[in-house]
Amino acid sequence: MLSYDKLTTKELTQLGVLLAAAIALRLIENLFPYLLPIPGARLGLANILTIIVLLLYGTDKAGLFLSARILLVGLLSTGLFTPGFLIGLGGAALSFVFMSLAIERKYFSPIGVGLLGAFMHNCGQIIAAMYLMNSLAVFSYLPVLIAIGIPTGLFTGILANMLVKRIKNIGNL
Amino acid sequence: MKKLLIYLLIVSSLLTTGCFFKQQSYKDTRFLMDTIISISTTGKDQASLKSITDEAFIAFNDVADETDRYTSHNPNDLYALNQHNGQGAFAVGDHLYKLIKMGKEEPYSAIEISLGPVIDLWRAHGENKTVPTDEEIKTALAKCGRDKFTLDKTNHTVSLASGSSLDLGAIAKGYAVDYAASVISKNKDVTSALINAGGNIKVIGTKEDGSPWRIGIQDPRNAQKVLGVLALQNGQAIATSGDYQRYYEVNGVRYCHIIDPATGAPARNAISATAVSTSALTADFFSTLLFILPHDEAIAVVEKTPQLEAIIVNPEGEIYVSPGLQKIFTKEN
Amino acid sequence: MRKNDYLLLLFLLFITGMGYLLHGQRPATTEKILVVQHGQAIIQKINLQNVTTASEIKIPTAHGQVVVNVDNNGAYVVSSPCRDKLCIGQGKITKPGQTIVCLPEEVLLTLITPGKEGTIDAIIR
Repeated sequence: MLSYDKLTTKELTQLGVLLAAAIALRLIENLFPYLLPIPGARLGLANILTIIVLLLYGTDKAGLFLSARILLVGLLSTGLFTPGFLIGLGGAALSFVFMSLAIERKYFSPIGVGLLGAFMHNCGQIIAAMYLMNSLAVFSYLPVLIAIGIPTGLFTGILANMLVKRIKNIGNL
Repeated sequence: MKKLLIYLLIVSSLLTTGCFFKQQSYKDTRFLMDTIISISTTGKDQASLKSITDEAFIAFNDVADETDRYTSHNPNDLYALNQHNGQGAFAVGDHLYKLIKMGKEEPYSAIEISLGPVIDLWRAHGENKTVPTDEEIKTALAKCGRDKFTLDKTNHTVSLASGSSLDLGAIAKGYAVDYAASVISKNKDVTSALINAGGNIKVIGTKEDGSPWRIGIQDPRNAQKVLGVLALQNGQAIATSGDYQRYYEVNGVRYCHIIDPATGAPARNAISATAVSTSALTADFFSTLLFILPHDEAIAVVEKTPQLEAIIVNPEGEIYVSPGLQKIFTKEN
Repeated sequence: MRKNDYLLLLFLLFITGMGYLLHGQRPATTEKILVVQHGQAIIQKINLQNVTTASEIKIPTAHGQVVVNVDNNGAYVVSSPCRDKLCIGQGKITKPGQTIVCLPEEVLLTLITPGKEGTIDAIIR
């Protein structure tokens, strides 16, 4: 179903390290006290890694990468199928779709992708929350989330930009 | 593009399965034991939550009926026992026996279940907004005391001296909450529950998102405000005794419903005492005790009793928060 | 491509701005519903947003009737046949989660919002 070229050992190792970093970032985010009365509402810093992998490896492998990260974080912390997990999933999925589109079609630079990712992540979380909690009241948190998402999005985008260049250089040594 | 769509499809199907795991919640509120009892539960399906809640209320009612001082419910209840005073041994129900035994063996003299005559005296005066004379109080007090009731373990009976009357107000509600909670805990379909019996709360299980239960403590002088919020974990119970729950005023002086056995008059050492412990019965008991004792003695009791934490407000409005609660109590400004 | 980034940023800032403006226009708080319970039955649910002028509801109880004043913001007990009148002393409730209770008459008034309740799970009184 999802076709992918064979990964070289170097690539596999690199992905492994990046995956560990993504998981760690997500778990650290969990330490922050509840930002809002929505279970699973997180800053979304792990997006940095998602963007990097998207840029270096393309949509398919990045999709697997993201799935792996979500699964492992679920097993390690939020638990699978809990509301927190599902809301995080909604956010991650929506943001991934838009980010990969943006990168493939080269609409934005990594910074813009970061912004877009954060924005869609928030939208995804709110949609999932509205669905799970059967309440439209959650929608009122969207402006606040987007407001927080702007600096976070810029931050993730800028960082991803810097890191991608460095990682590319490492590969060429 | 196609791959992305497939990806989206997978994700949305995962989300829909999440629907089946979605927590249902059910809440029921009833008037029992002269107060409001509210039971909130969460679990997998509404129907079983409703039936468990109904069972819990039945359990609550059983204890309420057996310990009701003012109405007859069954031949072995407290009402019947009190009627039987001075007439020898009387067979009582299980809950009643346990509570009376506790009242008899209680080391703290501030908790006295035989204060019936004094409580009746204050109630009668409360109707007319008058205050009993010292003579009346002395006469009533003479009918109270640990020696006025005895238990017989073999026959499961209680004997009351003539003129005496038992009142279980200090411990019956906590006991009932524990009993109802045990009914709920036994059932696997319930993920979490909160029992709120007017001044007695017990929490079972953890909330959906894993956060602790946030319990607000009413400001003793303003029913619309809270002193602060306590973050409680699974299995904890909290009880509050206050001079604002049931009282009447004469010439600007408040006479509350909690009587100090030492004076035969309403206790005045605190305006609100909240106890946190592992069982609702213990919490109920200590909230009354800490309310009655002088402030310093109350603090001493808290510090020397394991698994007991408390928040006590003295008549000057100063709030004491025991060391174990300081990290989980957020004061309201 | 940097240009697109700026466009996106502007768009997001615009949305946030709109969000705050719209928020400010809403009345004091969110939708509030007054739930009137007598004994075990819920006899009335009043959406306060639909209450334009203050009005009184009379609840028949065992010893007479409990009269409650309801307006756009909240509710309070005007009169009650109970002995201690503690329910009147509880004042006016205006925020979701607040309650007024008259035990002798078995009347419970609660303000709720449809959907998310306040951040406090329960209040011990």
